[in-house]
Amino acid sequence: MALNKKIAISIALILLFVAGSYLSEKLSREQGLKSASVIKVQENNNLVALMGVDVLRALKEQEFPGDKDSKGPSLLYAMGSAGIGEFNTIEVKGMDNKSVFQANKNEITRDYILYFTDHGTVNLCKKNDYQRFLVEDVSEINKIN
Amino acid sequence: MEETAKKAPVSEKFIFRLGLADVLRLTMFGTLISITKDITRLPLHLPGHTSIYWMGILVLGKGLIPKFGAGIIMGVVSGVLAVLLGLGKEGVFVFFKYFIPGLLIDFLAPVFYNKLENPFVGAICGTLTSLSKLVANLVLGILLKMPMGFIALGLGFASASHVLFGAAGGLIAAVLIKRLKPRLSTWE
Repeated sequence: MALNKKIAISIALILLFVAGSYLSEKLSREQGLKSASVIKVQENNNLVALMGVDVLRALKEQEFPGDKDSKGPSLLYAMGSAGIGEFNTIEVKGMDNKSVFQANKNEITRDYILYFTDHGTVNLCKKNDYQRFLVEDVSEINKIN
Repeated sequence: MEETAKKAPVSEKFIFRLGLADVLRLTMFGTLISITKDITRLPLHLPGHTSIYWMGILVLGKGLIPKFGAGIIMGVVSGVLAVLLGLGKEGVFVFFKYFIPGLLIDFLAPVFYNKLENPFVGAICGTLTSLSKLVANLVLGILLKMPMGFIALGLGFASASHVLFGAAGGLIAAVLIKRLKPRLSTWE
């Protein structure tokens, strides 16, 4: 086979790989947002970050290193890692907007935990009160102002 | 004396039919890959930006010593050094991230008749080896259960960035091979 033909085939393969990467990214994002295994972090409805539950697990390890009793990272820590340090009001929404939790800056402490569920999502609850979920299957964290 | 003369030449006696001198040169290229990765801290914050010198050196090494095994030796040397220098978060498995592009270039170069001095071939080989690094990264992430959320969610951009930097590295290497090869006729 001529060299030029091989070059053309290789370029086509590379373009296919890149297109396939964008496609698989789009599919995994849509699937994740639908099942709440990916959380949308927004600032006044503008997307700031997308966080997978596996990322939250890594954040839990960073926040509570070696603590086997910790159930998940704090809401504040997760928001901070997405670049939201300052806020006045925060809104946490569950999958399909079934439950919504809103709180002011003064109310939010490190006691608000993103609790890992057994189906690959997180619930918002208060520390040591793991039976009562404030938001089930968190899908969105929104900084309102 | 006669017995010594009948023996195969030194260039066909070491590993992969490569001479000791070639292996030493390839070890130098492999070392350069790891050391450059360790000492350069380019504030680019783009995935795969290291491919510009990583794949550049890899293609350059293979282009100057176009024999089977050249890529494998560079991959093994850089991989072992990466493990010893503690590069990456994968522990000892970081070896594969360095070894796979080296292995791939050994199979890629003959496909293009070892014409790595051709800018298109250089860029393609740089791109494909750069993408193999990305794939090795993903596979290691899945196997080691590392947080893949950010990687998966930016896969499209990461692959485009790997293509861009890999092609740039390969292109620079092709230019260097073209300039250096005629001057290195006494290497053997």
